Amino acid sequence: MSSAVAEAPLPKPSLIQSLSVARSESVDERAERAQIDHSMRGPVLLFIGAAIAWLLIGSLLALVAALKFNLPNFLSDGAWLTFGRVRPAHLNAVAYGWAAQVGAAVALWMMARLSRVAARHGGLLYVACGVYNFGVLIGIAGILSGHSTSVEWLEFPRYASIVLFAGFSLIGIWSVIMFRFRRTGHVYVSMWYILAAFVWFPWLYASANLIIFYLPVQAAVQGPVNWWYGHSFLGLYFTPIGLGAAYYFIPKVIGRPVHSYYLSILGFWSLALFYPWIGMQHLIGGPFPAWMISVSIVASFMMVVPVITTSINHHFTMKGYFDALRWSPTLRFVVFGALAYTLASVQGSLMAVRSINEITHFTHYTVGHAHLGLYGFFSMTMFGAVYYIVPRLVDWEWPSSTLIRWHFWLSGIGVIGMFSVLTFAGIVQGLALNDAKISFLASTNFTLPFLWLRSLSGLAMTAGHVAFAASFVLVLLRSGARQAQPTLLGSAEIDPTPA
Amino acid sequence: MDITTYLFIASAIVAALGLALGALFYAARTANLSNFEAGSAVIFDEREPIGQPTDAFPGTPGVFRSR
Repeated sequence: MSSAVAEAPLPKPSLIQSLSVARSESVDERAERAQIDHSMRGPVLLFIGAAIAWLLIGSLLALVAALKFNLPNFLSDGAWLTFGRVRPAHLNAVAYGWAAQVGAAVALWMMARLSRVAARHGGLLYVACGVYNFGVLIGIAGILSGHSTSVEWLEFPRYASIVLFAGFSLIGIWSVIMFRFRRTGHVYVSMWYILAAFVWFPWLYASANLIIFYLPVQAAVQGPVNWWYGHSFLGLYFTPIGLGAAYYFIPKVIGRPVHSYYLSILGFWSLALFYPWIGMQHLIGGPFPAWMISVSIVASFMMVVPVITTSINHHFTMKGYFDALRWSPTLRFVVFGALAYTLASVQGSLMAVRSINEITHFTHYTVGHAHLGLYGFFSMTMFGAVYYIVPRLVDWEWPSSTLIRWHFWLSGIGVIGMFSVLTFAGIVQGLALNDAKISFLASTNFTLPFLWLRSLSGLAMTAGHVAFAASFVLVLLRSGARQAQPTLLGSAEIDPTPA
Repeated sequence: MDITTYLFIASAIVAALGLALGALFYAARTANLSNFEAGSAVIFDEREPIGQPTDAFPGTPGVFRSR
């Protein structure tokens, strides 16, 4: 990075100027990559740091919740550590504290890079980060102190959800400003995904909260609203950000354009068309009109279109370059995430089939699916993205390859183990639940050994997170000897021709 | 449900549809739905051109080249 470029004075338009209808071209200079990274350094590192803190807290809560399956008296003296509070606290800490936040950080950085302009109004992002994390903090504290709403994925008390919404809205406003003043004519597919996610999430979150808590619909209708939100949160926020990152980092790391750009655009618009209809399949067997559930089942199957297009695209972009997985940490995590995306999506479509859902519903199978999607796909992709972004922001290479490798293998083996164990246990549990000759107690007792394995898998993932956090702290401290040609300065001297 | 709730739900649906259609119209109008393959190269530039890998494990022997 050229320090002269990085420290060049940046034009500073006012927020009013950026939001006004009339554009001021004088401040629209196309920026160098180094200048862009310099302008994004503070906000993105702050978001990533906060996200990692929540990842560690969420992992700890997960371990406590998992151990309680086998050791029900473990940490049960105080009400705030009972399973009914720790489990939703874990879910919300990793979903809103870690995943949504690291997704925002990665998306913000990509947004600036793809816009080819230095960040405007970085202060807005600092405020957004502070407000958002305050919302998550009082939300988790609210859940642990017994103020959970008990609506899955929306457990944060009302006083926390409104703060969280305000924080995220600021991120959305900043993104729209960046998009408006971008210096690239073409909107790259990742930017479509990011913009959509930043619009969809506030819309989903506000709508679901309003309809369930502020202007409550009849009780029976709250279930569909709940699952429309719960599933859309995964599909209309995490999925677009994860796919947007994969479409950026895979081609960027190997130095090859995406195999079929046409397919990538088709994938985006078909996701936008089909995903909002999904969610009601969670209520198969519930007291709802059959057509409502059928619509979601059909939409689940139509999701095959974006999933297959994306999978084909990722595979053929990587074809001949799989050797690169040996030398690129980013690629290793992102490709793992892309594979998990395909698997989780196909599995999700199959789970919407009524006859399959009858078996998997109310079992550990669903939990395995959720971990494959939110962790195997999304979190692994985000880990890879962070490994690419942070050295470019702090102007320092990661201090230890070993820590990165440990992180990859612990997280990878952990999530594969958890998915496998819960999938098998869930199927047998579901078959047992549907067998009138088998008591409920027997169907539950059968799963106990698998729940130990689940805790063990969670322990491996948590150890991976500790390695990740250690790497992050060390690189912030600029620990270790500086590499002669760090990743951000040099480019790999590897034969770019396909193996 | 009272009329306020119905109005809210209806306006949320209209807003979402309007945004989606607006985005699609914008994409078509700004030629983002044509000449697809050219768009795939916008993430590369003269400093990080096509054919140049940009990531590797730190300290990988022989991987990096000085600019």
